[in-house]
Amino acid sequence: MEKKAAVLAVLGLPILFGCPGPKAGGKGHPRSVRRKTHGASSPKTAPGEPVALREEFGKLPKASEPGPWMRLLERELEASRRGIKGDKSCPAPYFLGYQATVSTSFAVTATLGELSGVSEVRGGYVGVELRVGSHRFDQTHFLDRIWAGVAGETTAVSPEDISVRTALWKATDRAYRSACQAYSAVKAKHETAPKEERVSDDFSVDKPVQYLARPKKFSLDRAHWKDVVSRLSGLFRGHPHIEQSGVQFRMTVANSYMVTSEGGRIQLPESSFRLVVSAGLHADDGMSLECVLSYVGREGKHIPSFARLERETRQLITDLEALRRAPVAEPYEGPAIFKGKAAAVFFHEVLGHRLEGHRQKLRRSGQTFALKVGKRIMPSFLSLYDDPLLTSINKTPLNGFYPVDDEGIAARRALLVDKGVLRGFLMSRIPIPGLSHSNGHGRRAGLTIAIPRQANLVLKPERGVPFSELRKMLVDEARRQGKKYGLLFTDVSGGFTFTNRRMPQAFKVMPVMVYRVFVDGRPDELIRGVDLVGTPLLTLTRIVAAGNDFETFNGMCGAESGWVPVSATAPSLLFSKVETQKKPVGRFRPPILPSPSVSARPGKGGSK
Amino acid sequence: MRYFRLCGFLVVVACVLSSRQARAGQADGDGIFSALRKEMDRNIKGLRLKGAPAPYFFAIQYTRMMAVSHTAALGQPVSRRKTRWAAVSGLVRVGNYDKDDTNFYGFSPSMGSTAGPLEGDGLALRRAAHTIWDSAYKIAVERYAKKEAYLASHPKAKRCNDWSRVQVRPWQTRPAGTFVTSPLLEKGILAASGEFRRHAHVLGASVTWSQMEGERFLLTSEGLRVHDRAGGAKVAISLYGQATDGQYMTLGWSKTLPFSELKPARLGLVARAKAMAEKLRRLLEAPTFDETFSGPILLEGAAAATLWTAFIGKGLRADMPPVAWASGRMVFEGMKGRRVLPESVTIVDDPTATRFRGTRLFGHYVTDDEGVAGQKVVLVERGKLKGFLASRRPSVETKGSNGHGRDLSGWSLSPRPNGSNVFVKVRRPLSSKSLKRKYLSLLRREGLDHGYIIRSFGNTGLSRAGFGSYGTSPSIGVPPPVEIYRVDTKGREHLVRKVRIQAVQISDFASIPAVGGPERLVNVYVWTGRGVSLVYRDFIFPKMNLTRPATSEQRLPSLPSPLSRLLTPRK
Repeated sequence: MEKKAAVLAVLGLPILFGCPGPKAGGKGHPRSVRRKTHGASSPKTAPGEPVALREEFGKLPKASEPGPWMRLLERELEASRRGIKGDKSCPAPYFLGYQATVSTSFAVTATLGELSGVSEVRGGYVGVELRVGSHRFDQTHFLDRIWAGVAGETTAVSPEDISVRTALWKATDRAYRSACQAYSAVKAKHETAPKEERVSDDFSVDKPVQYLARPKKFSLDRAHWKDVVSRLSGLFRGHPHIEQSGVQFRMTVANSYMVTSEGGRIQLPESSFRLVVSAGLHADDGMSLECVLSYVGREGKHIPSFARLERETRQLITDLEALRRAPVAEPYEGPAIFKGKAAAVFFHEVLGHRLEGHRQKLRRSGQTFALKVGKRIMPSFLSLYDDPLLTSINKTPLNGFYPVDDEGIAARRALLVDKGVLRGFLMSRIPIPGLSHSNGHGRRAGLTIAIPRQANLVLKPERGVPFSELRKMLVDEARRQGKKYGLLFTDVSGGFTFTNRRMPQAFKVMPVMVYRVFVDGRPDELIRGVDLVGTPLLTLTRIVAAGNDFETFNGMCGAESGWVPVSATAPSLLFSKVETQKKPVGRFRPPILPSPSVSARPGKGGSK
Repeated sequence: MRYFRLCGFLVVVACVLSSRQARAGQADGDGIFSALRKEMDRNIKGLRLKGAPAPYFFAIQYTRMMAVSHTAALGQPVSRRKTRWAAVSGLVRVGNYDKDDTNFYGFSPSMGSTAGPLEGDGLALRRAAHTIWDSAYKIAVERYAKKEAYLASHPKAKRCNDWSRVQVRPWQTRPAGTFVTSPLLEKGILAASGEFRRHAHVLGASVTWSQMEGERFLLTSEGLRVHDRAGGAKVAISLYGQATDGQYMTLGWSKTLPFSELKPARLGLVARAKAMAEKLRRLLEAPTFDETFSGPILLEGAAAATLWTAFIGKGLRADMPPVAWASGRMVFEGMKGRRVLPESVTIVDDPTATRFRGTRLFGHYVTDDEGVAGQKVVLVERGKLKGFLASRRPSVETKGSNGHGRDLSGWSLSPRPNGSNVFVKVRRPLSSKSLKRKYLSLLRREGLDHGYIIRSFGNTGLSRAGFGSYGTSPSIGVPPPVEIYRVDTKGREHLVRKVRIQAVQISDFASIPAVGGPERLVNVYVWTGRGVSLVYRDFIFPKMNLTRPATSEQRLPSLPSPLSRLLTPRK
């Protein structure tokens, strides 16, 4: 399972991140090779042996009969569909979708060996999506009002007739009002705005799915998790240099029920957990350094063992202490390796978001790849796909699994890049020129229409080399370019990219663990204060080799339609050239007084 | 239902456990203070930056809290939330009492906060205090330097000291009781929310019962040591409907009480829900206000409290604007001895008062939130301004505190001057009937054939934030009235809706023509155990301008609501 998280992108919007992860040792890890030096040889295209991935498609939830929630939603949807007649100012909706969700979550936080917060929440919620106009032209047309036609309301936690019906009625009324307002606005804009460059329908005609899985019950050993979180946070007690630290755990079970006017019927249980270990300090020059371990996943059984959590937390502490002492990097341009997870985050950020279908249509978007289908966009030894149905790769559970997307469309694999050539996009029910159907990637986590999002992104090379070989190629390339060293990125905290055409079509990735790999054979040197910057079109063409050492990051991705669980899997990659810049410095210098480091027993309220 | 019974049982168990923890917490109090003291001593000795002023005051506060809330709509539970958390917050001041880093651009001192340990672990508390003070000190040094530079170029901006010296008094409160877990309460909110199922005009309604319980340990470098335990429960009802012209109308009611006074059976929630539904119906059916009116207004009940509160909050608090504010004067600055109210009115604030006609006053306290003994203060005597509510932050009118430094937002470490038990005393008040007669005669005298009586603005005026919002402008914003009646000169009243009132001037209070009616009490409890109380009477405001609001109405729902479908008999 993943050890870390990440978080990614938002496009032209604020962004966000998860952070660095543990550096579990192992084959091909920099620690195991940092003292090795190698001779020179020029990098070749697609070196190495053919690589294979062990992909698993796990069991789907057990099928079930439609429960009382489904019957209630169906009845009310039908009543609304027949009842809303429309008038001169606004037509009746041509699409109506009802959803109800009942969720329970438990969260616990701890600091320095003691709990600092516990909460438990249970609530019911209904959501309504409706569209006015036609599939060809509706209120979402310019995609600048993606909340129009969508509304939500709290409701009873059990399918009690009048309470749920009233909530649905209120949400329907609000959704219809906002849809009508937006519809008037887009019709006017359509008359006055410059002619659209790329015209397509607003809502695809896709086959609805009937999918009824058995609801899940919330079951968790709360005392156990309080204990785990306390014990993990206690590992920071002996480290006075670490100024802030904490551990958080949250488990949520949500049972969702959805019906649509097109015949979609979905009853889907979902569970998720997130365990975050974070710590931060200031370097002597005032640079603020933070390391985060984030474990996210779908099932409680995917949570790592305590032994592993402890080991990786201790490693985080070691890394943070090492970073504090590490020299600050200068701006750099030259060759670099992105180790597996760093490469996965990089691809999610730099390419994945740009291959979301609606961005090829969105007027304000840079549309970097809109007209490049069938054209080469990266080296021919690399292929890229996104598959929500994958449950694990090489036995690592994937966080982006789902059988049916948030528009009620069956999830399926989307081939994005085949041997370097762009083949398609991630599609929701927002058609784009040339692609008029969803491939089951419509996702949302809030009150917006679903937009295409990544799920489980996989970068697969045709051929790959062992990491030690890739490292040797880095040294050779650095030497060839007359550099004293190349860079090795083993961990990133996240990143962001601009897709709005008012902004430069650039990306920024925030690495945490970066090493100088010297051509003269000196041991690798950890550095800090590095941000990776660039533009996607150019950077993708500079990949010269891939490893055979796949790694997966599991995390949460934020964009216009909210935060959704995702994963990305990639091998280590060698770039002939990357560019880095300095990180901003912190506001304050390190603490004036040393941190209190006396030992004290938790729970006794006193120090000794 | 079975699930919720189980949850109810779990809440009971959790509450029993939490009360045990609270007792354990008391036993640990010395250990907690000892850890905080040690860290404070170390920081007092060593927290210095070369060439920068040293801190002259430190404060640290450790709190642990627990909150539970249940919400029901239309007779069904819709959410349950239970949370426990702990926090540490602290502040430093650099410079000295005459001039320090505060009172520059804002009111907040240089401070910080972070999560804390629920069981009071000493090392965690010390680490938190260390981190908070370190960053607070650096912020304070920056602010102090910027303020010095500002004052160098604006030498007249600073007109009083930044803080006053006092002899602080440590205190320890008794436990505030523990969560009320009566099933009657849960049944009560379900039943009250279920009442709305009988009223088709109620488009949305919710009933919430929430409880908060907390404990805090406060320590300052001046020797203040506070161990405070408090809690309270709140019941709230809100509902809304839509008139036939599209106007939305919302009604809300809430009551916060100490645990000891929370008697589910006495709250009468179902009856209150029924009355509110009926009131909403009347409001929705009322005709709209269709004129522009300028003249005297009779303020009764909660509406009078709203205006008294605004007057007291705006005019009688000695709360100097920070030095960098362009409008750097208090509203009644330099007005001592001058007429601000009619000659018949005297206003006194007395935190030492405990009861009014047998009812407990929630504004009572012995020591304020800055450790100063609460004192009785005459604010207005026979209509003339006599004094101000003062905290330790001096003003040009007050050199020191009179025990009114209050932290009504809930242990935020930022006390401001505020009222406690405010009594608006009236010499020879008119009876309710005489007050109305006086109002009608005033209308006739001004040549008006009708006037308006306002009975509520949708709130009681006093809130958990105390008396009104801060401001340096002499005008007082008046919220849209909820219950406003058109009254003709014969005294006949008709409810109207859709009225906006323009802001009034605080100087107009001096021309109030009459005060009377029964003495009323508004008692607001804050969960920290320290509320505010106002004893007042109705009055006639000399002149208000009423207009129609500019807001547009929403279209009516496309479908009748499920409730109306259910309640309307089929033909």
